[in-house]
Amino acid sequence: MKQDIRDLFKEEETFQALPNNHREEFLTKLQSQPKRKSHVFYWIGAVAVAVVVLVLGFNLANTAATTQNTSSVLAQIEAVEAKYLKDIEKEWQSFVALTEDERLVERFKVRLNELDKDYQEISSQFNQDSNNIAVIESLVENLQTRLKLLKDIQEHIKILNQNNEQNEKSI
Amino acid sequence: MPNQIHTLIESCKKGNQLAQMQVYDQYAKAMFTVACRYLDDIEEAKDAMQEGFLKAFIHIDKYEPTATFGAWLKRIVINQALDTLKKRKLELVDDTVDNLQVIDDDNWQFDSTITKADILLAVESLKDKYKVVVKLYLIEGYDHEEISEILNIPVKTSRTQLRRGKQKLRELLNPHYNEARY
Repeated sequence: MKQDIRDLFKEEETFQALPNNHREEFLTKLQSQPKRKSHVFYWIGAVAVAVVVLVLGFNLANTAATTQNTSSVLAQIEAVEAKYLKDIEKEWQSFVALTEDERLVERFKVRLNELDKDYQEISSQFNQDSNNIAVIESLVENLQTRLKLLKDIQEHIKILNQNNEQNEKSI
Repeated sequence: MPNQIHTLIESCKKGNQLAQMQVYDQYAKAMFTVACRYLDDIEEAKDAMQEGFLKAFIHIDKYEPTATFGAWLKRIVINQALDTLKKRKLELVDDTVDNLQVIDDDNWQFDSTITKADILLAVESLKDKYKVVVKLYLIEGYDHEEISEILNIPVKTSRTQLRRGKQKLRELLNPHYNEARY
């Protein structure tokens, strides 16, 4: 009797057992990779910083009318801030709508409140020294972190939900 | 399943680490098994597999859904494993084969008492240059075009090496042949 041995290898095969800790090791490798920033955040950030820098530069060039211009800088920054806060609120609402896990919501509430506290602190620094670019950058960064936090958790929930659906279907 | 992996890949394209880890979890075992066929050192195989994943994530924009994601990933992992072999200066190309006439026989009929395990054992005892081609063809199921791309050798060479590898396999697996020998 003869057989075509190629057919033997068309069947499912048993898998090799992976070494322990391979997962942790891979996660470390993954995290040490240069990070690909999400384009949307990158651009929002870049535009926000550019606006602030431009306005500040203008402000510094006109030192004569400092007080007047500072208020216009403040107005610009407040506009950026309001836009972000609106987006964050929107994402928060959609996150709350997406999950039924109250512990998770509570945990994120705490984290966001912490970030908000940080923000208040940086804000008070900014009020003392409104020409400091680093302070302004950390303000924007703080807002971005909150937004990203909310977007990431929502994406995670969506993937989890899909997995669950998948499992239900396969049962 | 296809839909789910599609969503995961989209998230990976955005650099989402959670999604990348999920893809890793889903394919690590299969890819490790593939790497182990070419690298017998477990550590080396694991590193090749993980490097393969990292490369796949970097170039994930180039993935086109014409092939399954698993097939695309497997090709990357195999390349990575072969690169590791090459670093050990394994000679994959045999220059002396060019003048040989290639008879393209498609006959892979072996005695039916021969098991998969027997074959794998016999493949392992082949010379390295035959071993890789035989594995790519028989176990992974690539055709000569694909093998020539992976190994960067002419199709003709791939055919010749496969034919020789198969001849060797027949000798190793044919009980009568062995009886006659001893």
